[in-house]
Amino acid sequence: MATLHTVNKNGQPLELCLRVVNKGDSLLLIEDGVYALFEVPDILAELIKDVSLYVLEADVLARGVSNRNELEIELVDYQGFVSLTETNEKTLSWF
Amino acid sequence: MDLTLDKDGYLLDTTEWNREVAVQLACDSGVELTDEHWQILDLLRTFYQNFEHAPNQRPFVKYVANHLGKDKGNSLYLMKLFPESPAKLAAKIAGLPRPTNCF
Amino acid sequence: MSQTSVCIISSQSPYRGQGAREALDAALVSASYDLPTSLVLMGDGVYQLLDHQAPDQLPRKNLLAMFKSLELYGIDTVYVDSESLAERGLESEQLLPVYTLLEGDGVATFLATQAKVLNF
Repeated sequence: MATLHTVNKNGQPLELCLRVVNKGDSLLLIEDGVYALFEVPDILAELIKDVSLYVLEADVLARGVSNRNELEIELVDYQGFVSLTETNEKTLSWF
Repeated sequence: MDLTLDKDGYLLDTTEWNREVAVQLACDSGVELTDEHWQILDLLRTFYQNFEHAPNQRPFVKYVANHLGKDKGNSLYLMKLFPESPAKLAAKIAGLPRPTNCF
Repeated sequence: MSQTSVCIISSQSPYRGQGAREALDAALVSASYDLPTSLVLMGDGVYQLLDHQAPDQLPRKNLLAMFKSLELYGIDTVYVDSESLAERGLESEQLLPVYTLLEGDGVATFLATQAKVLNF
């Protein structure tokens, strides 16, 4: 039962998501959630060992957030977002 | 007696309620109140005092069953007293708002 | 008919916005349709169970009254993330005793068993 988690903000939404994310789940950072690339790169680097990490392209580009730590995080567009919801059994949004 | 009701016929100001008001609200809905009705109405008002909302069918039936036993805490009995939609009609006559999450 | 289990996560504090109330409403609706329904409090959501809440001076309903009625809707327990309590310095005896504590990975493990999970 893999789950797609979307996170739209650091702080509580990200923290609670990290607490319940299971191995094999996917995590997509959207809206202000993409600032996690700046704010908690070490956490993401640890997370990526067990979880597929994605960021929403439009939100990354809009905010000028770059992936300076060269983590293997995949950029997805809206079509990719939809595909992720299809390949996971559940979608859980943290906001 | 002039009562201010909402668009669904529920008493707008729940503090306006008294037993006379209940009789009129019941009459407007074609129900003549008996002791059996009053027993349920009083219980429903206690529910509202404790839980701050009017129940829909399921908790209404269960609450009546918990307090008055299964003879009365069942849909058929309540349907007989308050036809069609017991949770809604009883709440209306008891001067409570429309039941929460009632469809 | 197969029963779809529904889990509602409530993670907002009780009187900031409508999130807490909406989570409870969602749980009650789900349970009213006879779906096996559970409610999980985590993050600031654990503040919802503090007893002695008295929002009389606010134009708000007392959420504790709703929690007390959950059993009548067929929701027998509320799950509480113990780590969220600890982070806020809350003790179990400060809460309305209608909950079950989930320790460690308890919430993650529980969510994995649920068909539908909604966060509020």
